Amino acid sequence: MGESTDPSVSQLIAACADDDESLLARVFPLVYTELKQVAHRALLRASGNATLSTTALVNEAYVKLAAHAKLAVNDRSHLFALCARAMRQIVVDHARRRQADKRGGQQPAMSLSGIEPDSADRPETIVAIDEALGALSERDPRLVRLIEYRVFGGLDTRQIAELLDLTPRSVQLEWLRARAWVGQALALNTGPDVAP
Amino acid sequence: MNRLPDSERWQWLDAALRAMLELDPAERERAIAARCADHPELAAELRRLVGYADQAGPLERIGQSASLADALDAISARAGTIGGWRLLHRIGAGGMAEVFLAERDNEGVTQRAALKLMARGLGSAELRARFLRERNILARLSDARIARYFDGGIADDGHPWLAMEYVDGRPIDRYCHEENLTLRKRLDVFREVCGAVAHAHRHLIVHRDIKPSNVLVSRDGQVKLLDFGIAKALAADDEDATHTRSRLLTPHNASPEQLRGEPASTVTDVFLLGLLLFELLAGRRPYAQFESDPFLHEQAVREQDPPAPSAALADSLRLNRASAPPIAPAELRGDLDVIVLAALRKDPAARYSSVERLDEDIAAWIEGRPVAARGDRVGYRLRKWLGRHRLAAVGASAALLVAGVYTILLVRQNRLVAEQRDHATVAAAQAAAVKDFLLDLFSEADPSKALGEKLSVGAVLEKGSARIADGFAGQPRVRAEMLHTIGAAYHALGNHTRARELVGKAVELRRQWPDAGVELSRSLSELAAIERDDSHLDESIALAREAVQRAGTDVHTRALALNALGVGLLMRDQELGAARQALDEALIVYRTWPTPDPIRIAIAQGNRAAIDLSDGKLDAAETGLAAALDVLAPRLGDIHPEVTALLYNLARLEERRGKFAEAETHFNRVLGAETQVLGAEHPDVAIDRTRLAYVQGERGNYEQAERNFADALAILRAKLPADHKRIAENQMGYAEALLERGQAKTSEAHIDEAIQILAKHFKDDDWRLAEARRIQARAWLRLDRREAALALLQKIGPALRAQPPPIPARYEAALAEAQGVPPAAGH
Repeated sequence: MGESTDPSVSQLIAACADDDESLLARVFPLVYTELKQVAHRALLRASGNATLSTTALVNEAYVKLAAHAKLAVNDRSHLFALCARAMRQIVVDHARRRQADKRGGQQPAMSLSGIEPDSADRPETIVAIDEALGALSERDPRLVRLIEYRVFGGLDTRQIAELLDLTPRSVQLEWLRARAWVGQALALNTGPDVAP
Repeated sequence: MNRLPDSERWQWLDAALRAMLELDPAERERAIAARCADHPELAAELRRLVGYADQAGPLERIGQSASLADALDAISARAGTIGGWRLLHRIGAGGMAEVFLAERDNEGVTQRAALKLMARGLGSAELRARFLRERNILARLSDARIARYFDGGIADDGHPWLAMEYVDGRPIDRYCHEENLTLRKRLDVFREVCGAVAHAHRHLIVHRDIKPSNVLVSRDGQVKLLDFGIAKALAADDEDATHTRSRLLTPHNASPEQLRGEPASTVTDVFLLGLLLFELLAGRRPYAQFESDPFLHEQAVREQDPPAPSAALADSLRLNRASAPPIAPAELRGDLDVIVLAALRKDPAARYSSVERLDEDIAAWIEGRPVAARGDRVGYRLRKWLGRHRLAAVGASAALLVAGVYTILLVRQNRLVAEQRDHATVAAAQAAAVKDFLLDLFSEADPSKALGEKLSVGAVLEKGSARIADGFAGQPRVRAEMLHTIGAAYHALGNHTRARELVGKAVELRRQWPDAGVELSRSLSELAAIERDDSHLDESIALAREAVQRAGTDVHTRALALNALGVGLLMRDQELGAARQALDEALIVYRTWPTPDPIRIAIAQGNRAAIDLSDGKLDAAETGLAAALDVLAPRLGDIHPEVTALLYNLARLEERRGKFAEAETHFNRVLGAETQVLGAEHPDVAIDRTRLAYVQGERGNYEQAERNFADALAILRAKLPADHKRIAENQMGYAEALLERGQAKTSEAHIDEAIQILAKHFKDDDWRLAEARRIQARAWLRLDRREAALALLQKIGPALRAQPPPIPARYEAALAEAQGVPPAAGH
């Protein structure tokens, strides 16, 4: 049950090669499940106390999924994107659950404009960022992929540059764009020096 | 939701943004102005975008925050189940343990719990047994202010876990701060904590780890103490004590004696409560200025006198008025300072002697009465008093023994309280009085006094019964409850004579009161169990019948009575049908309890399986035993008497199937557990040793069998009435083993005695008497009294031939020996 079965893996490879959205949607659960299992096993190994490295987990999930076939660079990029996307989904699902747990309590509902820069731990923030990424993907899907690579896949600039076929400098510039548009989408209140 | 500008505007802004980002920051403002010359309305937006790009924001912080790890932790939990609990997500972690929100389905109701999974596994069987014992004690705490213990066990990988009531609340310090509680309100909340701790102390459970994060205030304002006794349950053995200590303790929340590595006691909790009160009143911990250096900090806790709370409060107000309590230092100055400092004395003997005393002094302060902590005379009195109340700090070996009995008593007592909870504050008050009495009684078993004169459990109980005899003249109901409790303790310890005497008196008293039906029923059930264990089955059944009748509609009591009746009938095995009926009804009643207790249900199921075993329905019996074991073994552990009973029946089952090797294994396990719990001299252990010897005989291991029969018989003779069936049972097997070992003369003496005993219990044509006579005939054969043997065998033929195998075959073998070729020894 825990192992990826061959049919889904071949589907997976096809999806990576094709960039067919519906096919991607179909293989996504496979990646999601795989990542969860990797995380679960990692936690068992760590016997509780170790802080998990998301990078290590996404990498392990990637390696497990990729082990079934030789992937071209382009496929690798897609597959890694899928792993990072799955990680994002896991984090957001968890945040939504935590939000649901709190509902009905004294916690006041938060308006987006009220989000402060240091509230990244709050489930509301994570859900809001997820929604911001959703909106941004309509305008610039590659930028969202870059964000996912870094935030949820834990990749560094060099690795991202390789996967997206960019120079490290471009990746850094893209990251600044990412900050700008996510900030805009969240309507962040960044301080007096930017106030209009 | 979507705060992004429309597509056209987005493209313009994005292109502008890219251009700006390529520039040196110093040139940007000018470039923005130039670029937006035609679109002044976009300038502010572009400026804002550049501002976001310039500094790290939520994207960076997500990566650094705990959110990712939390989400992954939650995955691990969601994938897991422990002891039937589904782990939902992790709600906390520390060096010792992780805590998960967990749920399980209990009789159709989903129950939530905080499941604490210990980081460290328990290696040795001894540690495991100890954990399971401690855990059973936790189950008896029943105070609304203490997070309830639900369940606990040892996971497959050896890690112990405990499921406790899940409390949705805030730590008490945060609660006081966020609700901006006044001094008076803070004291009220603190007194609730004292009440909870005092409750646990009455059960001889010491918390040892009282700190704000363990004292929650729920949303409806209820104080809840977490983790009671867990430190104790998990404390490793002595050689490992320092290791455990270093894991458990930080000087923030430790007493000087804990830091010295001495055992914790009730006055340790007084100190920890003093720390908590200090923090709630002063807004900071007493040794806050040392906290940056663990070494200095520990030294300060051990050696340095704490500042007065009023002075510490003045500091807090000076440093940060907003986070300090809304209290004026002048309010603390004087008596409250004295109270807190008296709780925080370095020398345990100089502190308040109990949590109640601390609590009383706070109450006195609130009401404006003089407080006891004032004045030197008190110190002396405290010391004196303390000398007698250190039992909870059990460390010395003499005290362990006493504590063991104490636990039995309290466990019983608490079970009664639980059963009575529904109906009567009077009953609760009685129960409290009995508990205080017990506490007092056992407090005299001071370990330091007992050194040298080894203190026996019996001596403590004796003292207790003597005191009941002359005291409580004005409180007959309390007296009856105590007689019942102490009597039940004697019963548990195997002293049936004293047990019968005391519980009998309780019955006698309660018969006088027409409104005491339920209490009377409980005492009758207990007495029925005592009589049954002395094999006075007719008396037992009659008592149990009366118990059922007196129980009326009280489901708890009724189920107990039906169970007693069922077991009595089962043992007098002519009435299996009636026994089955009683136990089936007991099962039904147990299931109608307002909060069905899976443990009681499983016990009744186990008893029901015992009937199937007697009926010869071995498969059904095995199913029932296995189901009951599944519920009970993980919850109670091997050494619990109910689990031992199930294992015993399983052993009997294998014996019936002729699988003697398996039976011997089970019996050995049973004996191991029983010896540990009851001691080798207990009659139940002797009875089971007899069974073991039988099985060894069946396996042809006569030498071991003979030794076990002899050991068991010596104990049975010492502990049971001379005409007890169990003695006869032993002697029948013993006699046969002796025959095999060539000791016909001794064998004959035993079998003669066995026949005399059996003749008192059974009719002359009963097969059991016939079976004993078969053995007698075999002894006669060996003693060259062939004719008499043959005549005897012919007489008993019909009774034995009608029995199930292997009895007829044994009979035929004996008959052949008598009639035909004499055995080698008899020529």
